[in-house]
Amino acid sequence: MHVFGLIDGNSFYCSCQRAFEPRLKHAPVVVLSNNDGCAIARTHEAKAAGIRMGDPWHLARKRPESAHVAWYSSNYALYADMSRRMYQVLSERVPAVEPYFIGEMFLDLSNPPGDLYQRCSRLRQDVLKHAKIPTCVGWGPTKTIAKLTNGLAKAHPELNGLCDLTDNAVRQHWYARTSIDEVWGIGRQTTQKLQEMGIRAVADFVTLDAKSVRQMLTVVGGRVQAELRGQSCLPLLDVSGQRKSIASTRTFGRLLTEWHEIREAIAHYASRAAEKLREDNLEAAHLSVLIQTNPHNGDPWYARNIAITIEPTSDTRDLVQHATKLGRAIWLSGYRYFKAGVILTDLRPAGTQGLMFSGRPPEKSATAMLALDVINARFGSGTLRTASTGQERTWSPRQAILSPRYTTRLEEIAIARSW
Amino acid sequence: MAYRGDRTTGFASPAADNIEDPIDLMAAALDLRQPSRYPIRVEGEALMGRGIKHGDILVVDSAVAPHTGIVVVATVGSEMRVCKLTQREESDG
Repeated sequence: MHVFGLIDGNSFYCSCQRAFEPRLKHAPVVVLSNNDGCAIARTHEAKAAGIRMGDPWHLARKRPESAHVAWYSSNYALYADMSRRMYQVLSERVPAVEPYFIGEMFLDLSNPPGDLYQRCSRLRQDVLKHAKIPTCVGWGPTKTIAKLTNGLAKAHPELNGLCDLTDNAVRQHWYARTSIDEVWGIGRQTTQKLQEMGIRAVADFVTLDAKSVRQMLTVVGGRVQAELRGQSCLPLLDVSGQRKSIASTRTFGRLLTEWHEIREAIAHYASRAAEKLREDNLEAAHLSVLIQTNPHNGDPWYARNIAITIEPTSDTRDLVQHATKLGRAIWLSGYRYFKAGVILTDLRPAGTQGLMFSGRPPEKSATAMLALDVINARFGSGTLRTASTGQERTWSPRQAILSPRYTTRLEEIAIARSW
Repeated sequence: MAYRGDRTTGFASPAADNIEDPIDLMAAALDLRQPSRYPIRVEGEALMGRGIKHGDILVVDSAVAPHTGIVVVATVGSEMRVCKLTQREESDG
């Protein structure tokens, strides 16, 4: 029989912060979104202090209950490395691991057969000991069940972080007590549709006629139902495949009105996207740029998106030039801009297509980009960059309370006193 | 192709079936790609006797089982400390 597991870091971002700061062990910890906007990860102590998901920092920090909360800007360099550690610990112990999200991984637990409770308990211990991340593990005959099971392990502390739904009778017990909106793949609209029909618990949903589920919720909904019934439809996915797009999109550190500022930001995003392309040895043949105002602050709404097909390239200079030209075409004065982005699609392996119109000899471009990447790898990202990305960069995201990048920068590693 | 004591041009090398790689200290002790290894900078001179000086960078391996006498990074109160692990005698009263 197939067994899928899902292992998920408990408040993953907060756990990464805790791994290097013992004083946070029992403290309420909150990690903020890009730009220190709102709460995106909370420890259970922070939840108990009344911090909700999406709470804006500038309001939440002033509440008296928040007095002891440790707030952090999101430190994605740290979280990515901790996620890498988690994946590696699991890969050494499980035949196949699919990183579904940064702190969340599907496991193939079908082989070897044996006591899964003991095995998953061991995995949890090892991830905690090696990668410093506390987790919950759920498992069952399908990915959808594994995901649901993990949610149960999280929500019910009496399960000690482990939950097994391989047994149908046990599943029925939980299905009767679990709301349909907890199911992976059932969104808000579907939930509403089902609730209007009087379907609230997972148990109600799995007993519906399969054909009418497919009619109502398309093949996708039908698959969710089949998976909940124990028929595996979704295999473990392989991430080693080539990426389909590269996006570099950010909200600005403050609202921007002037074109020259927005141009700098767009040039910067294009440069980052170009670096990611070269990391994977790819070129892009399609580029789009977006800019928009803030949908939440009452400003007039303006959002535009523009795209062109380009000669395949990964040269920062080409991509910056294309992106800023496109950005200029959609920028209008009089708006306060909140966000911009550069998205590269139609990716292909570098050098597969001869260029017809390029003004830049490919060998020279490759040499220049190699030099750029080597310098930035050694002296830090952005050391050498195009002048168009600006000097002051006052649009950079706010990261007022960023912790050190403990595992990726030598000058920022943790300090321990001896005595 | 580097010569490793195997492919000789005159007489066949009698060692050809016994080629081993040199010791890789990097992998054995220092490689921070190991998921359980973390770099830590030392502050203070208290472990001078163990050759650990102020400013040194230690590679800490959280997978190693602690035992008496080894140098560990431990949480003491709300701080991380580098210290020698000793075991206090259990008092039987």
